[in-house]
Amino acid sequence: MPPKKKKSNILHIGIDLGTSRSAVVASNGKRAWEESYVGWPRDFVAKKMLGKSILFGEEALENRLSVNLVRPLEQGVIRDGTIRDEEAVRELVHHLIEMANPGSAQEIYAAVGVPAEALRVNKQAIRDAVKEYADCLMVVSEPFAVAYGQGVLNNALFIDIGAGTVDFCILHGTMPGEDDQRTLTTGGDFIDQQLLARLQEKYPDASFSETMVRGFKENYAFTGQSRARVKVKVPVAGITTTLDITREMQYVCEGIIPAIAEAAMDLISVYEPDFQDVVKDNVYLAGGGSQIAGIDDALREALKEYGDFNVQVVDDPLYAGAEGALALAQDMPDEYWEDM
Amino acid sequence: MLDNSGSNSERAQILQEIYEDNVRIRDRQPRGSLYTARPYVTGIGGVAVLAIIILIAANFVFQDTAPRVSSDASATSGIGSYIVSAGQSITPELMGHEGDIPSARAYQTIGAGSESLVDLFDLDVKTIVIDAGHGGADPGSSGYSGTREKDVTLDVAQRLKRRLDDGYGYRVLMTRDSDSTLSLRSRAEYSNEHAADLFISIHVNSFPDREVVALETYYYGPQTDDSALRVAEMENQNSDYSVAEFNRMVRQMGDRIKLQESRKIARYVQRSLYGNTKIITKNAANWGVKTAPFVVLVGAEAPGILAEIGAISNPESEAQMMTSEYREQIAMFLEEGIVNYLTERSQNEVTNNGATEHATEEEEK
Repeated sequence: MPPKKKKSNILHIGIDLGTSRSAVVASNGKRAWEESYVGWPRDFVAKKMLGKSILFGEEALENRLSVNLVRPLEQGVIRDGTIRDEEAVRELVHHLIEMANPGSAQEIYAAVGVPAEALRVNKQAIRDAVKEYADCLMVVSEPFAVAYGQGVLNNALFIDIGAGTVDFCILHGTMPGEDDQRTLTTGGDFIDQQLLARLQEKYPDASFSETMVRGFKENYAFTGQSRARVKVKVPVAGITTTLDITREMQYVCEGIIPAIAEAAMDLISVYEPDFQDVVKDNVYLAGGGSQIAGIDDALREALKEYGDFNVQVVDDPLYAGAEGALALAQDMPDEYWEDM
Repeated sequence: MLDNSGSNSERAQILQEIYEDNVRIRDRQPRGSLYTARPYVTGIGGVAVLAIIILIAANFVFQDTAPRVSSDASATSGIGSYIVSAGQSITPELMGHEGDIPSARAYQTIGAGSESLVDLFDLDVKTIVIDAGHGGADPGSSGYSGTREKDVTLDVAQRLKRRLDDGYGYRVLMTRDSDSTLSLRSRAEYSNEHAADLFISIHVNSFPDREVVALETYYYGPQTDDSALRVAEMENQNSDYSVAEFNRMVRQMGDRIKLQESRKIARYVQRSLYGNTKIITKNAANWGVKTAPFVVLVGAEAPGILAEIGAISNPESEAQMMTSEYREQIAMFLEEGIVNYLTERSQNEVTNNGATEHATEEEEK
């Protein structure tokens, strides 16, 4: 560790800006997360009804009929030229920093982990979005923040299965460059779409919504052997009916594995030959997708033909990115910070 | 984790690299003056936004109880709300005058609380045709860095369409949705075929003097000054009308309602366009509402205007136009002007209390 000579009135904040969920962890011990939704009341009527001019997370989602709902990093990036998205990122960051409850006299040093693709495409926009609310700011790619938080900086592969994207990052003791990273768009949202399509096809009379299907996934997603049947309650022609969606759930969850295995091998196969086996022994899964039951085994199985892999799921994936960003913020020497 | 946890020197090395990477990001700042103008002192932004929100809320309560403010007075104040919605920080001077603090968005011209918004907007489907000036083989004017008028107009038009599509219930059409060549005649005909109620043509000015940044909105009529005629000449190229057809159309322009309505829209749009733009572009000049014989405005039967949203000949303006933020803001300002006009108009139809101006609107229908 570099020597810590911290000023007392500095609040270090680690933020994980995710497509689906965003989390914040601060050096004052505050931890909070929020669904990455920002909603602006559609008109005056809605504004009066809701009693506020901006809504976040669950609340925004619940009132989606009366707000203009934005999920600012939908595909893992701020879509080009959408000022709405940039504004939403800005508001979301502000909201997260507020949740960390900074003292009024405290300087805020924030490290923000963002989806790898967003970092590549919208570096500038993200910096601009955060700059307003933090005194000093560093932006890093999300999988790297997770790796840093785990203290794993060399000969490892991190796979962050997010909602919008699946981000891969090879660690080799230096900051990962573009060649060390890959991004797939087959993340959690992709699973939702697939599941919705399959369920609608199988049960044409039943009514499913995207939110509902996402709920099924978050509660019951699994690969491999199922422990119990997945049964959900759904209105069919208005009547609440219990449907068994075990097979559909398994099918869509396992559907993302081959692409992940292929991308992982892509990265590993160009790695230093001497250390490829070490990397194979250090594969980490993070992000919401790492919560799919049995996904570590499924990936190990899919990679079997390339050798023995040790795949593990990071602890506390909801906060792993934010914790990593915080660790990075705290380790960062003050003279670097002061320049930002 | 022993062999891969990274030694202290390795960690220090990584931190340094992150720092350097962020320095690179920070120094790559080709943004327009919007961003350089933003105060870097944090906290102020948040506090200002909060203060504005509170003031807006206060303003609201006030409006609900007070007699209706005249639309002229209230429409000029649609400024700060945009600053809030665009996430910009407010300059302290602005905070000083409560009169400058607007109620939110475009709805402020709606009066006291007895009429609901739904009633006001739910009258009939309004068709709006947006015309992105130039296009395809005709690039329009271009700036010193090579920004072309046709690209700016198309992008602003698309943004304006997206905004007007969002919840107002208007049918919004575009004469062109890509980089295609269209004669002025086909633009006007498109508007007529689709029974447009409103025709909005978007253009960008270009002046011999690089210093000039002037905003102006035109509607059809005898030209008010030489520079207006010059602009008309520039925008009228590629007309495809014969002299006889043109003369007939000009006679039809005796239609005074179209003239009156066009003038009204032009005023609303210009007020919003200039009122907001001057906040972000210090040296913007208000050249006001003008008339000039634009072919495209004569041919379209609907009341129509031609908005010159900026000056591409001014290098700073050009740089602004190259950013999506700025183009989105311009679209927002146009939206405000159009919605203010339509709101006022629909309100007159609802209350229809016999004022002559309102009666002419009924006749037009």
